[in-house]
Formats: sequence, structure tokens, C-alpha cells
Amino acid sequence: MTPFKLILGSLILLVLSTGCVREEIEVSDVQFDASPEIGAPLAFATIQADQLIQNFDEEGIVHAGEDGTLSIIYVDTLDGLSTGTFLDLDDQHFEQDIDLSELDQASGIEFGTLTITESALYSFESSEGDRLDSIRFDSGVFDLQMNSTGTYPVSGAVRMYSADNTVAFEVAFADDTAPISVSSTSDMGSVLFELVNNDNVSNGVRFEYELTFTDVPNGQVGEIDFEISIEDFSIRHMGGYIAPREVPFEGKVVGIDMFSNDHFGSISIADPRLHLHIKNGFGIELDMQIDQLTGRAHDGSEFVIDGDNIERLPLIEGGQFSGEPAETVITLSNESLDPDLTTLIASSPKEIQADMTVTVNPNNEPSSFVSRESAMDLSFEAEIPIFGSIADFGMVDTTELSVGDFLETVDDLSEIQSLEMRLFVENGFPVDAGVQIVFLDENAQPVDSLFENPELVFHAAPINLTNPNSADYGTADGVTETLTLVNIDRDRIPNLEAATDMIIRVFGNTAGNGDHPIRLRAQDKFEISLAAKTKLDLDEN
Amino acid sequence: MKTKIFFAVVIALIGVVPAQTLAQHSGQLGAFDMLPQSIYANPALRPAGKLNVGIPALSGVYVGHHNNWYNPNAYMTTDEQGVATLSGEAILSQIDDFAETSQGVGVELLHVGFKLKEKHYIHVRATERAQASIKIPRDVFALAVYGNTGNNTLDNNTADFSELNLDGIHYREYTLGYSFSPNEKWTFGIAAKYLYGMERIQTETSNLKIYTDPLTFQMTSSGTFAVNTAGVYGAMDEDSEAIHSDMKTYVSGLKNHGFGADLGLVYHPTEKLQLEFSANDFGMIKWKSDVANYTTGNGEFAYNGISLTDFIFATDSEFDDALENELDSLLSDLEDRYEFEKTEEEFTTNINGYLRYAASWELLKTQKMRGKVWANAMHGVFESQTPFSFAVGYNHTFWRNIQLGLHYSKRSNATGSFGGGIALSSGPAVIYFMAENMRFANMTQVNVVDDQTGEREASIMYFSNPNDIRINFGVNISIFEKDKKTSRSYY
Repeated sequence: MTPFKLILGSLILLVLSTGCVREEIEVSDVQFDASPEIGAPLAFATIQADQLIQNFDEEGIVHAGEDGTLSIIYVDTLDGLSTGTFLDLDDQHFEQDIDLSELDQASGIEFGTLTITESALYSFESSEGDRLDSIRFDSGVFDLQMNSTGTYPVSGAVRMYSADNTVAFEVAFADDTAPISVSSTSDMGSVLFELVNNDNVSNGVRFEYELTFTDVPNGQVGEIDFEISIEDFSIRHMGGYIAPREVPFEGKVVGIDMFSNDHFGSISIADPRLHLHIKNGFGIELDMQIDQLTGRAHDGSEFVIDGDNIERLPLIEGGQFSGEPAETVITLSNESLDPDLTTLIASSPKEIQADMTVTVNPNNEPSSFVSRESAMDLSFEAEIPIFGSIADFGMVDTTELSVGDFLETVDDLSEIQSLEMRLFVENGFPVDAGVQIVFLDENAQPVDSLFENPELVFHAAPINLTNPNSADYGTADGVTETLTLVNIDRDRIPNLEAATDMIIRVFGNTAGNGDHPIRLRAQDKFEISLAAKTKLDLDEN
Repeated sequence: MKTKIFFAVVIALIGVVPAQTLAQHSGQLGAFDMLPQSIYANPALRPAGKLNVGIPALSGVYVGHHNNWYNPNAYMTTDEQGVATLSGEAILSQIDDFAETSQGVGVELLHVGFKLKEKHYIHVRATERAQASIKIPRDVFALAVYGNTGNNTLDNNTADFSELNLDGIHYREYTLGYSFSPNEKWTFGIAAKYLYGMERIQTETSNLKIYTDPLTFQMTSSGTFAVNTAGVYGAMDEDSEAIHSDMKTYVSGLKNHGFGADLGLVYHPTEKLQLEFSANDFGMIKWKSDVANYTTGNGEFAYNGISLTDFIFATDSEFDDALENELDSLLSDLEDRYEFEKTEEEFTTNINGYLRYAASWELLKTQKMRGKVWANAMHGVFESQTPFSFAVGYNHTFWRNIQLGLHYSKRSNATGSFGGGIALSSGPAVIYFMAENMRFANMTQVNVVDDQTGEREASIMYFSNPNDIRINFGVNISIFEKDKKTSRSYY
């Protein structure tokens, strides 16, 4: 065999022998031996204090100052004083008897008609000793009862004269059939009286009785009795000397909702204020003093400050003109009372009640006015600056939860070996805050909890403590980062599926846990990022 | 004689794999001076034949396949029940910086070369060349095995996809070569090429990265991915006409023209020592037909989760609506960043030029045999995808008509291996076969069976070790110089 053939044959043999499949593998299933850990951010948010205010402050109780400092302001508009509250003019009654038989003129009736006139000066009686120059009635009933023992037909009028001798009010009457008796009522709306005041009479009004008798056969003279009542009246306006008087002004309450729920811990507000916003529509000075200040907590306990320990409040100016009330703001601060307002707020009052006494015309001014529209409007305002401290604060709430229902919506959990939720917080608030959630089954037994031990998820930002007198004292001047991990292994899922309720406990405190006050500003913010990491158990079945 | 010719033709018909196109990348090609295809290694090399004619489409066939990560024997274990477990870490251990799979094919359509007055050698040839490769960065696999958090293997928590690369080219090369030996020591050669481009996929830009914050898992991506294509869009778009629909246009009517050249020199400082240097496959093609360019937007995108800032305090339907709007906005933003923008701009690509350095030393020379040791190194330049490789080997010529070679070669991103080649001359027919390694012959068949019935549902056969598989084969007709003493052909 030639070398050529030998080599060619070897080559063919080599190709045939090496071109065969060397190995066969039979596979019925494939698994992938890997457990990758996949992490991804889920959501994030930057929340600034003023954003919190806008969203939770539906009632607009949080206010930001020009420097961004925040205060919570609770305002209640209260029932004030109206004219009828302190001006007490009783129903007025006047009586006048006229005996014709004693009158020489009575014989003149035989000649046809006889007209006689009698006058009398009456006083509008004021129990307080008011000496009024004028009264305009807004409404009222003038009731006239006239009875005569005679038989002559009578007609006539009763007139009321102002101090300038003009007729202010007149009522006519007539009866021509014995027994002579007249009963009438008239409306006194818009009637204006200028009253007579002198040494002999106060709040005087002159009455004039005009009677015209008509001769009839066998007529007889007799006595005529007048009974006049001015009652059910309301005064539109009156002026003159309104005597000083005290009016009780009690039970004025402002609610502080932040203390309406159960909580624990101590709260100290550094500089709270109480403001009384007064609009005095009376043309008369008022003097309002607090007899007692009571803070009433959610559990019914009370904290009382006696009026003797509360500074005297300034006078309340009256309006210069009708319809133009004078506005006065009276502010109580820590220096105004003892114990101070910080101590009062520390008792966590859900409402503060002020019992007061108002003195009308305290300086005994000789001339003033009031009208029907006049009133003293009052708003009671509690200003709680977010400048203070909170120590060991906490709240507990229970809510229904069905983890099992939620897990049923997840398609496939078998590939998830574990799940880690990650909360990353950059906190610019000077507040520590934490949460713990305990999951309960239908028998109210704990089956799991969010954390093994309660954890702070927010650590307070560092705060400025350099100068207690500075406006920046207690404000946050940095951020603190907190990373909170919640691991959920597959082993925990059966317990969580049995959970039907959860107890949420939120706790926290201001920076330093109450050792010093902090001040919250509108521009303070925190950023939260929520991410999840899952460890997959890949098994391609 | 006739028998020999018959067998040579049969073998030529069975399979021809020449080292063309990327066969220049074959480490041993230039050592076989019996083959006219040696000129691919260096245009200054002189084939032994004074007249060489390649059998059309059979004179040089090259097939190359490379996969640096797929090795089921290394990362798959099967238990008695037939359950196969793929080890992610074992897969990763197979990959350096990237996982690469590439396929190359070359067919020499025509080759004619002849000596002229001893000092000159002229040849013409036409070759059809195609190559495709995909590179997947290691970090893609690392993400699948380890994820992006925890004990991942990502540098600075950044998944780097810069090595992501899709590349493919199909072109035809028309070459006119000339070499000149002014004296016994020097030979200079040049091969001028006209390049006719047919399809191209080129990754122009790939620098995508994704960073994951270890604390918050917030992700930040950056970079751009840009791909140029030619001759592809029409085939994939229903509303467009593929270039392949008109065969005449496809074969010779496209407007993708280019030029290239090989330059080389051979120097004999001594009779036994030969030094070679060449610059091969330098050229470019300007692509104009059925061009489509795809570019992502600016890939800078930070995903921090869904921003709830504006509606965190909303409730019920208001929250749901706001959340939906936020998600839509996020998706829209993502699409803007990563949506491919298509343009139709002509582009120019270089073919994979490389430099080759070689030396050989003649150890043995007798009347009946010759032997030489040789070594060479190659590397790409500029944007060339040609990896660095080197080879050392020994060629022996028996009886002037059998040339055998054994060598060791190593290419970057591939394991080293021993290979060999053989060229047989019988009369004017010269057949040859070369393989960089024997891995092509070792196959693994994976049969997927039903776990209940045991019936075979599918079978996949693949190389047991697909790392750097290159084979060349072919058949030529060569007329050699006659030995003056024996009147026999030189080979």
C-alpha cells in the first residue's frame, strides 16, 4: 500500500471514529441552582411640614409664621352679649282714672258734646337705674283698656308725647253703647320717644287723654278708668345714661382636638397663648374678667385656675357709631396666670372653659347707646405653638386586617424564599417616631409582630441648642438617616395568613425625649423610601 | 493514478473546509506552503504550485464556531431520575468578561493563481464570507445568579453591559493579488480587494450600565445602545421589501461597496530562517442598501420607585387615579429613554483587520522530507473584532506530497488547544483538512424525555466543548515545479 493510500485510509478512519456522538444525556426535568437576590425601590415621598399641614389640617388650625414656625390654633366662636341680655326694661303699666262727676264741665254734656283732656307724666321704669334720653321701639304692644261707669257714648284718643311735645304715639277709641268699654291693642313698631329727665322724673313720657262725650237721653256721667300696658317690646335703639351692671358670662369653651384621643406621655408646650377676640358693637365700654379657667381632659379630670390668679384684663372699648363695632384682642400668656398656660396644656385638656363676668359701663359714662343690632361677639382662641417637647408619647389603635385574603391574590409564592422590606428615612423633623404592629388571630391571640421589639423608624434630626433665646433654638439643622429592615421568611407566612386583626402602636418623642423644647417649622421635611428585596428560589419545573 | 484522482475528488465533494475568510485567522494556515490558500495569511507568501486553480466553491471552505460559556458537562449534573441541575455559579466560572457565541462561514468561490517569471505571483479570487457573533456581558449572568443586591459580584454595585454586542456581516470579496521577489531574501505582496456588502449588523455604541444603591435599591441607568443594520430591516418589516426578494439585485445589485487590501512581506535573513509580517483584511464597506439605524435615547434614568409625594395623602379613587397617572408617566419616561429611534442613514464599517507576525525555522531538509518549526501571532487593530491569538507548531513534508502539521494555539477568550492539519497532493489535486483542535468531533446529545412515560420528546446535539472550533478544508488543482533530477513534480 502506498503511503498515500495509507494516510488517506487513516484519515477516513479518523473522521469516522471521531465524528460520532461521544456522550448522551437524558433529561426529564431541569432545575436552576441559583437564588438571586433582587432588590428594587417601590416608592418614595418627600413630605414637608407644610404639606402635612395642608393635607391633615382640614380645619385650618395650623398656621405658619413668617419665619416658618408652626402653631396650632383652635378657635371657637361663642355666644356673646346681646342688648336684651343686660338691658332689662320690664313691661310698663299705667293707670289713669277720670271721674266726670267731679268735673264742672260735666254739665256741659247736656248741650250736645263735651271734650275734656287730662295729662299725666309717667316714667319708663328701669330696674338698673338707667336714665335714657330716647328709646326707639322696634316692636311692642300698646294695650288700652278703657272702662266707664257712665252711659254717655265716649270717643277720644290717648296720646304719648316726646320731650319736645310732639306726638310720638296716638291711639283713638270710641264706644257709644253702654256699658262703655274699650279694649284695643296697637303696634308700637318704630316708635321713637324722647324721654323727659329732670329732678322729678326719669325716663318720663307725657300721656294725654282726650275724651269726647255725646249727650244721650237719660245719660249718666261716671268714672272712666284707663289701664295702659306697653309690653312684649323690643328696643331698636336707646341712648342716655346706662347704669353700670354686671352680667354673668360663663361656660365659654374652646376645644383642643389634639387631646381628644387617648394617648400616653407628657407634652410640654413652651409658649401657649389664649386669645379673646372681641367685637363690641355697643356704644358703651365693657369690662370682662375671668372668674375661673378650667382645663378638662379626655378622662374627665380637671385643671382649675382661679380668677384671683389671673391678671386683670383690659377694658373693651365700645363702638363710636352704631354699626361700627370696636375690636379688641386680649391675650393671655404664661405670665398672665399662675399656674401658667404651659402647666394647663400639660394636663392635656380637650377643652378649656372660661367663666367670666362682664361689667357694662364700668366707668359710669353718662352717655352711651345701644341698639337692637348691637352685640358683643367673642371668639375664644387657643394658640399652641409647636415649640415644646414630647416625652414617651404613644397611641394605640386596633384595626381589622386579613392577610390571608391578600395572599390569595398573589399568583405564586413558591419562588419566593424570603422577602425583606426596607424603609429608608432621611428625617429633618426633630422627632423620634416608631411603630410596632402585633398581628392577632380570630381568638385575639398574637401570631406575629412586625418587629421582634418595637423600633424607631424615624430618628430625630439634630437640633440647634446653642442659644435658648434665639428664634432658631430647638429647630432642626440637619437630617438623620434611619434604615429599618423587616424580614419575612417563608416560614412566617402561615402565621400571617391566620391574622384577622392588628394592633398598631405608634410611639415617639421629640429630640432628647423631652429634655429640651423643639421647634417645628413649615420647611422641615423628611424623605422616605420603601424598597423590597426578595430572594428567589428558581426551579424551572 | 486515476484511483488517486477519484478519491481526491470524492473527498473534495464530501467536505471542503478551507481556511478562507476568517481562515486567515487560522494559526497554521501560513505554514502549509503546498496550499494556494496560504496566501490568505500573508500576500507575500508564495504557494509551491506555479499554477493553482481552486475547485469553485470547494477550494476553500471555512467553518468556525466559538462559544466560551456553553459547556453542559461543566455546569450541569443529572441525577438518577434524570433531573438536571444547572449550576449558576459554574456557568459564571466559564465566563470571563463576557459570554460570546460566534459563527463564521467562508466559501471560496474562485481561486486562480500563477507564477510569472519566478519573481512574480499573481492571483485572483472571490470569496463569500459571513460571520455573526453575540457577546453578552458577564454581569447579565451575574444578575441572574446573584441578583443585584446581597452578595453580588458586581463592581461598585453596577451591572456593566458595555460588552453587549451584536455583530454580523455577510459580504463577498473580489481580490487581485500580486507578490514580487526582487531577490532571494525579500518578497513583497499586496492583495487589492473589492468588497460587496450584503448584510450587516453592527453595534456602534454599547455602554449601558445600571447602578443599584446598596441601601435604598434605587437604580440608575446610563449609556446608550446603538445598532446599525443593512439588509435586515426589509426582511423583518411587513411593509417593506426584502433585498432577498430580487435575487439578481441581491447577488450583484446592492449599493454596499467597499475596498480593502492585504499587505505583506517575507524576509529570509538566512536560508533556514523566514520572517513574515502582514496586515490583512484592512478595508471598509459603505452600506447604503436597506439601511436602518436604531439608537436608544439618552439612557440616563433614575428609578427611585413611584413618587408618592404629590398624592400620598389622597384617598380612594383620587389616590388610585393619581397612582395610575404616575405609573403611566414613569413608563412613558422609560420609553422615551430606551425606545429605539430608527433612522436610515448610510454608515461605514471596517472589516476585521489584523496584523500577523510569523517566523519559521527549517529544521530538516532532505530529498524526501522537510520539517520546520514555526510560530505566529495575530491581533486586531482599531475597531477590529479579531482577538489576539498565537500558535506554535511543526510541519513536516513527506515524500513531497504529504504535508502534516501539529500545533498548539491559544486565542484570547478561548482555551488553548492542540490542532493539526494535513494536505495531500496526488497529481494536480491537492486536498487538505485543518482543525485548530479536535473539539469539533466530540459531541454531546441531550435528550429531553417525558418524566412519566420516558418517551424522548426532543434531542439537541452540540459540541461537548464549543470553544474555538475552526476547521478548514478544500481541494485545489495545483501544478508544481518539476524536480530537474527526477522530472517529478516538486510535490
